[in-house]
Amino acid sequence: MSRLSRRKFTALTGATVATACVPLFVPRALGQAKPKLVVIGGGPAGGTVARYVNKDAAGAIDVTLIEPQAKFTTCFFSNLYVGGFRDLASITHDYAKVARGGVRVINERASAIDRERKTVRLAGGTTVPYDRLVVAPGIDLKWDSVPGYSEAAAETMPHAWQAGAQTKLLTDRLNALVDGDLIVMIAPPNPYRCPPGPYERVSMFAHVLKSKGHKRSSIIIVDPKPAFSKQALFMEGWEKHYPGMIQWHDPKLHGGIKGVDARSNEVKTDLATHKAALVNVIPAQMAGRIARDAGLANETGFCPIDPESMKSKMDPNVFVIGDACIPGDMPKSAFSANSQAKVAAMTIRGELANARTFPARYSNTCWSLIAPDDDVKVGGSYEPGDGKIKEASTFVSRKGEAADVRKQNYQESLDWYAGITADVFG
Amino acid sequence: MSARVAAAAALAVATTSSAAATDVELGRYLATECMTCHRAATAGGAIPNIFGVAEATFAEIVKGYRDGKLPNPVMQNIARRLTDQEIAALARYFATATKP
Repeated sequence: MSRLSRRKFTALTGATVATACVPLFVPRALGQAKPKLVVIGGGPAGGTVARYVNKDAAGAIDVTLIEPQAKFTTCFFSNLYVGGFRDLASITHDYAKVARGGVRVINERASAIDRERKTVRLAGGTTVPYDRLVVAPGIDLKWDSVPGYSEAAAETMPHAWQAGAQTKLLTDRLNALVDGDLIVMIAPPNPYRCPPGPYERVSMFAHVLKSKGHKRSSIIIVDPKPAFSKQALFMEGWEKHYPGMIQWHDPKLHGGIKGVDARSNEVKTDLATHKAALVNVIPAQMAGRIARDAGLANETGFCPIDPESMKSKMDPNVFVIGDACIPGDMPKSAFSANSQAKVAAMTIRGELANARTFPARYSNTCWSLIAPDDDVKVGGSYEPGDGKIKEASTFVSRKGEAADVRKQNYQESLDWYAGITADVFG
Repeated sequence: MSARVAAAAALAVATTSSAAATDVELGRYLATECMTCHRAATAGGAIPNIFGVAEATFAEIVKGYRDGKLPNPVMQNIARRLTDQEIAALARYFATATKP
């Protein structure tokens, strides 16, 4: 050591200690209250992170889940309800098992986050303190992204992009159609929840019309995008199962979406005015309001995150997961939300309970039903890279696949739904 | 090197590999990815139950997907980024963990 100056020695020792402490963080004093994790939102992102931290921390962390609904209808698989393959009860879940596992469940709306004081205010006025906060509010709809559309207009022209009453309204309206009726869907611009979802929904519309013996009914998709997820697969399936029933109007064809009139049930584009029996408007989307109000979103309306941890780039004590975050190359899906929640849960246990951490890795698969037993899938693996969650490898179903492969996909999707909902809700 | 030394060296390597491979904590973390689909799985479903599968069988199947010898793009994609050590950790975890 003789050749080392005192300053160098101190600096080196300090660095060693600091490095050694990085994964351990500051040990909590004996007798101090248990660290607190608060989760806003009880969907596939929030439910997963609450349950995983609670279970794996084995009592070392107090976990509170704040979700306004006592029963949660999943947006994923709601198209299968529209198509008559599931009932609403089968896609609706409560939090009894989450609470029995030890998570404190508060069925109240979180109205504001105070990031300075590290508290969440509930609609009733109570404040809930946190050491780490997970914000998973899902999406809000940009009502004015389609001229003439509004929350009130959604009672006539349902969006059904947040599941529950809207999904039932859309399905009831679908089932009341008579042969010769026209359905118009306005598809959303990127980025939005569940990229193949609008096109699976159109498939379900067509399946219902076909099942009821409609010969003259038709469906027009007015799309602000020049292309969409699994496009070749959907188009092949539509031609096979519902020939001539579905038209897809891309921006080159319709020339621009001018707006809707909820009173006359009309959709206007530069190309034409469509007077429809049923209009399904899926507007543009943004992170849930509480995330935006808390300053966690950027100019895109969604929340930037650190791909290594799912921490908000705006606040190291806050994580944003699920549809509200900017997930890099990952799609906004329940599978992605569940995957992101597990990375967040691991990081939180590392910080609050000194648990061992591992490099983040993510995955996703989206199944889409085109017709009975004809299901296609797309998916990928993702890892941190280039400052975002970066695609590592992907796959997608192929055109012209054998019927047994497509049927197997459908069976997989049923098992996946059972698995992920057990993962989220217990 | 005598046969005895070679055998001892081989044993040491095997022991080292085995120690590294039995990182159940790593297996537990990696398994969270599997749980999304396999959590509610039953023996008769399209997605099988993988809890209680013998370690060697588990490793052989996952390597089969990784090498493209077994079909199913979801599993091939998941398995492709797993190292032998990670597969061993997963195999140990699922062989010993109780299905929730």
